[in-house]
Amino acid sequence: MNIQPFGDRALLINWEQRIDPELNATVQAWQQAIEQAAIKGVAYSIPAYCSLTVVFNPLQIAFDTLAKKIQALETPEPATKHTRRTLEIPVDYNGADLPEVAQRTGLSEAEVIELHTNRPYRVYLIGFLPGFPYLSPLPEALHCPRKQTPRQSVPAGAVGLAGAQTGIYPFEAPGGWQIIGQTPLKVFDAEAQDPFLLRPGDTVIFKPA
Amino acid sequence: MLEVEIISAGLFDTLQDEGRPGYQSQGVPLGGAMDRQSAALANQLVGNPLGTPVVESTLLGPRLRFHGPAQIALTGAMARPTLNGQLISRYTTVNVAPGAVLNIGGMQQGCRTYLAIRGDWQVQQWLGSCSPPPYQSEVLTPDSRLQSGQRLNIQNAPEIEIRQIPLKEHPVFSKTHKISVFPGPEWAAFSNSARSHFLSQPFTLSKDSNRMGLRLAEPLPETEHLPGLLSSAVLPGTIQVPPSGQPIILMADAQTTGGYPRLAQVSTNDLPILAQCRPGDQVQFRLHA
Repeated sequence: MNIQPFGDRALLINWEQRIDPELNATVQAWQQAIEQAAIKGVAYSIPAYCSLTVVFNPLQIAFDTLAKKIQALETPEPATKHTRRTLEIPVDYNGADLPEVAQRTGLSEAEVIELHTNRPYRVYLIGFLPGFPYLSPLPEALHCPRKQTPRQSVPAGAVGLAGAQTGIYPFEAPGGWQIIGQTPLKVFDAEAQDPFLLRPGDTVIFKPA
Repeated sequence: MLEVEIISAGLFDTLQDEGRPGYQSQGVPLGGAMDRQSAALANQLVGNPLGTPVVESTLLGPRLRFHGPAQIALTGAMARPTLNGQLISRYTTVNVAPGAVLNIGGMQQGCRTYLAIRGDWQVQQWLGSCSPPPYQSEVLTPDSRLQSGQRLNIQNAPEIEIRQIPLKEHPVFSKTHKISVFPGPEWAAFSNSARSHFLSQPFTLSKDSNRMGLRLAEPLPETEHLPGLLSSAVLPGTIQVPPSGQPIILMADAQTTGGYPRLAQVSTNDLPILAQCRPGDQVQFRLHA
């Protein structure tokens, strides 16, 4: 892992730059380890595919001190299949872009659905919108580009594809993902104490509703 | 309980505090005041704890009526605020009589004013902050985007002595802003000519700038073939460069991750200067010493 400054109040840890479940589990394990170490001056951290950004208060801790403290932590054990959560997400495959995805991939709509369901996806990161999971790996046959013109409004619960990823819209928002279906599950619940259904490292399996 | 009535809202008035640090791993924007320095000063001038809500107004402020005695302070952009038609000073505690009408008005210089009102604000929060998130704010923080006719409730606190910040410490606004930056994580991926252009040429702040980001009009050279980035964290002050080459400076409501190369990171001390930039202003970057 490579540690570098990111401006005057953040520290960036980069691993090998590729999408890989073990690397991503390492990122999440380090995020937890740094959180648990409760280092004074650390404000928050943002895990991604193969990087972890740690934001700190420079009046409480210097970059060099923080980097040393992180390096001195014991290498954390990544969560295993058995300790990770697996969530089944029912999907009604009626999305407006299902025909376009079928056309772009040369598959029938039934084949698109078949390929998308009943396989485990990892939540690599949450980003773009509060609670929006980036899920991979998507079978290569389903890879297709984002829409030429993003939609003004995509409904809450919409299940979409973009490149090598699939994801779920937590609430109504503009977006350019190819929408293939809709889940009745609340990925984001504004009223709840913890509004987010998914966290980085979870496993998601889509089931036809 | 003090009631403050919004007689007429300005262009874009929101309640802001220090945002939601800690929820960024769930994709929640940090939020909070754009010009955190002016917001903190306003609260200090009325003796409020840091992080008490303030009213952030953009370019044209609101008109408000105080239905009881109050102590207020105005900081940030240069406006000509009046109380019952009489010009009042900025950067000082102002005593307000019951029934008085405050008009913040248009801003001659700078972009955002901050109004602090002494007391304990009774407003709905989401994840510990009243700052309206870019999405779902009408559900999550219904009080925070001020509307004409709305009333704010503030629990009064004992009156304090007048406080004042000397004139020489008020911010000075110009049309050209010098901004210190640190090399960003992908600094080395940019060509020499892109980097030297970035540090030598002025950039114009474009009209479609907002609390999520400030867009710069002039493109950098040689940015078409930059390698893509696997989504990684972005922060307020991150300068990212999309394929168009026109840099975007991410601000308080920015998303938490992005895939565009991160050219530079603005020095935290200079974020308040950027928060006060108006469309059409020029920004000149230099590497932090």
